[in-house]
Amino acid sequence: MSTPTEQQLRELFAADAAGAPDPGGLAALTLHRVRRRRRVRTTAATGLIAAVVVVGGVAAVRGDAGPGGGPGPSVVADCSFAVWFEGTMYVAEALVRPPAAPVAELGEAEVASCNDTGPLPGGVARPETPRRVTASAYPGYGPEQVLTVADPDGVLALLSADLPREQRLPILAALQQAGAEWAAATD
Amino acid sequence: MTFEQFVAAQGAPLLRLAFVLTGDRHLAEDLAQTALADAYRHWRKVTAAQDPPAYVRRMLVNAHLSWRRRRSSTERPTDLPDTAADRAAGPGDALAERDQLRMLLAGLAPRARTVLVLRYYADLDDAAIAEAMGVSASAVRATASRALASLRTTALAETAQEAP
Repeated sequence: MSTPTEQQLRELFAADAAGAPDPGGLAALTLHRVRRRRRVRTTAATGLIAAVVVVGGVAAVRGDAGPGGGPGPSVVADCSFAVWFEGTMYVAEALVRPPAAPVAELGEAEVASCNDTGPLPGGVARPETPRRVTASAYPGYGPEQVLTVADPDGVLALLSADLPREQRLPILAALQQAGAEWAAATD
Repeated sequence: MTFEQFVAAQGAPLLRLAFVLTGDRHLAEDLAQTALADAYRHWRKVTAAQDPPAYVRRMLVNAHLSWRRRRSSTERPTDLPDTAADRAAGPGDALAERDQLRMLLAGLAPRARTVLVLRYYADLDDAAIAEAMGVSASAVRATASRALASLRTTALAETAQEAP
């Protein structure tokens, strides 16, 4: 090809921009995401509080304490809700409508703890004393792709962190769509 | 200005910028929603800013660069991006050149590509690019210069390889 000129870059980027997705519903989807993250964080925080109570109780019984006899490390709850199931981590992506028909229970999953901020798997960790929840299937997807966990406001759909990008993105979009529809139905 | 009014006015340009930056529809939607969700959470700061669209654009650029850092170790583009879907829109040679240019751009470092997008798509001057990326204007100039030189060098090398 000829050496790229600044004009070619302008034309390329302008042509690319013309194919951008439709922005319809962007505000609603964004607000839904904000609300979902709040719910998910609340769920995660509840789990963390339970874990901290358990760990704190064990530490108290063992006579452990932080430096100077004060409390041990503090916990910051700012991760996406995540679980471990059969060696794979699943991250909550959407709060969706509970299935109309019963779905298969897959077994117990361990609730991950939170080490830092952000929605990516790097922010969560596998605790030594995990809280356990019942993982169920999600209609239309295999357990290696999506799990669900009961939630007071619906069903949390969790996506496997091990899926390759080309599989993960369409499932993520479908879950977010299902979450938006459930949010619209419950608002 | 309400959040909804802001998104109605600025959502489309933000989504287009996200699409040009990522080259992927799903990632672009995710990126735009991430930036707007951040904006919603800090809405007072956004509305108090001298230029609210620029403030949110900076959030989007930062989120993009942050994602690229976190994903670069596990994900590599294997195909042409979604932005290459305009093949039917013009003469074959021009489209082939665009596809080649996209591949050359994909080979640049994320920061270099972002500088070129902000300069040649968003039409920002170096000071505005520096503001959006949180770097100095001289760093922007140096990055842009190196990126263009890299594109030209790679293009020349490929042309030499294609020659009989």
